[in-house]
Amino acid sequence: MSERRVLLPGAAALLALVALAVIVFGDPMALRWLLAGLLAAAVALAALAARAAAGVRPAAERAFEASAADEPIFREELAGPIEASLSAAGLTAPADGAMPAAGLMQALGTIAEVAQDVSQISRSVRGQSDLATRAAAREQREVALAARELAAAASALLTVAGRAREADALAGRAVQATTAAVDIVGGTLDGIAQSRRLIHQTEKRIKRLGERSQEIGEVVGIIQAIAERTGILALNASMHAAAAGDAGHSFAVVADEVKRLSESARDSTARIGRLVRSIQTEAHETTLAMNHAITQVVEISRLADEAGEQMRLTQQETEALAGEVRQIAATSDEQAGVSSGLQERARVIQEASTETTRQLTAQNIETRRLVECARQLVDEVGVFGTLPGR
Amino acid sequence: MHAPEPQAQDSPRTRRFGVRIDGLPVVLPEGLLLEFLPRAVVWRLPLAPARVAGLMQLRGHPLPVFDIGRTIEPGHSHPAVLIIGEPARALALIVDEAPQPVCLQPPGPPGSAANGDADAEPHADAEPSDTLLRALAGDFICPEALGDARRDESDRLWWPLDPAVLGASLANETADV
Repeated sequence: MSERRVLLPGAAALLALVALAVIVFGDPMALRWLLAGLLAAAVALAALAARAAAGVRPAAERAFEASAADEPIFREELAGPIEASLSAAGLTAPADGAMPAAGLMQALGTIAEVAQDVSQISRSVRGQSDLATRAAAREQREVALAARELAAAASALLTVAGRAREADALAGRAVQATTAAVDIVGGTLDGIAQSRRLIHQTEKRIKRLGERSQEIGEVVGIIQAIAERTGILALNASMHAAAAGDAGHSFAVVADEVKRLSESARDSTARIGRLVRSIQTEAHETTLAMNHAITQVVEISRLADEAGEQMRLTQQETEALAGEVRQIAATSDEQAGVSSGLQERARVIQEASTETTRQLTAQNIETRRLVECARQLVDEVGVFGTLPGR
Repeated sequence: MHAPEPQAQDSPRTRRFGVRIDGLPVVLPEGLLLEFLPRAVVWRLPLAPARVAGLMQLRGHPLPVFDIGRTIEPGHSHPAVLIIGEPARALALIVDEAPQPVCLQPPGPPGSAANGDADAEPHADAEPSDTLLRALAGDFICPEALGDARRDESDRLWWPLDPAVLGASLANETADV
């Protein structure tokens, strides 16, 4: 068998195998290469079959009939067409023009071998076509799955973008609330400072009140001393009146009245003194309470100041968080757009894969028909008994 | 110094003045000139007898001040003093407090509980203060100057004091020293 005759279909089959291998390793474009290889192999096989059927079979029929009739026409009528057929088939006729029956048989044998090669290659191509069809179907499933996953990813990214925008809005409101809280704390600090000044002023006034009450106490002491001296004076007057007997009776009455007045004054001053001491005690306690209140106010002011500082830090952190959330939203929108593009590309790939599968199915049908034709060709050639082993 | 009036001449409702001397309540005779000085200025006299607290002046008249109970503390020069009698011949005594008017109950029969006889034995249900006062009266520097204990309208015990007897006793005691 000539190597030139099997080179073309062999190369086509090799190309198909290479493409099939690439498909197995995941290159989607290799399916086109597989289809091209299968088509080239089929074209080569068709050419071989057509050449064999067009040139060899009529000549063989005529040679068979002439041989059976043993007529001289055999040499004239068959020599030219057979030679032409053999020449077309790549078989060179003898230079002397003699065409013995052995040459015909050799040609038929060659044809039979070619037909057998065609049948074998057709079966190989059919197997490769089956593999390619299954690979195309698997590719179609994978592409559909990838498209669904891409759609889910795009939907998830859109959801993330929506959530990020909601978070951005929440962060914005949190920033506004924190700003308002900072303002409130500032107002509270001002109020606390004003309260502190008021408490300090009140403390001073209460101290002055205590000092005034102390002065009142001193005056009350003086009045009390006067009352005591008046009482002593009334007592002495009363004793003198008593010593005067009846003559001092009226004076004794006056002295007793003076004594009662002095006692009343003494009681009143004693009561005033008690009240003044009570005022001094309460003023002292109030001053202590005010000092404690001032200490508490200072502590509250410090805590409020710290709270304001913490709120300002929170405000800054929240603003930074809002910026990050806006960035996430923008990135999510961008990725959602990219996913939509990928989804569109996946749809196109899916359509192409579907078309490829359809083409491969049709090619498979044609290949089966080609195999059947090759088998019939082998059977037809086999009637000459020229096939090896027949 | 005026002589004390007899106890029998006291009218039941007579207004008299009483004072505490070294814790003992004594009532002074009626009609006697009295003057109380709550913070008298007393100058101590060196080498003076123990009962003599010092010397004071009353409207230009120097007066010796007697401390019967020797209650005045060294350095305390402003005691409460009761002047008894005319300033020129008065007796100045250191007292515990200011005098007060006393209305004594009418005197009962001798030895009765109503008049609170100082010599009588105290009753079992007597007030503790009465017992203490009777003990003070028994320890008085000049018992002969004290009369029989009497009660006032508030049922408090008072011992009538004869200033003349007391003055004489103090003068004799001072002269002996």
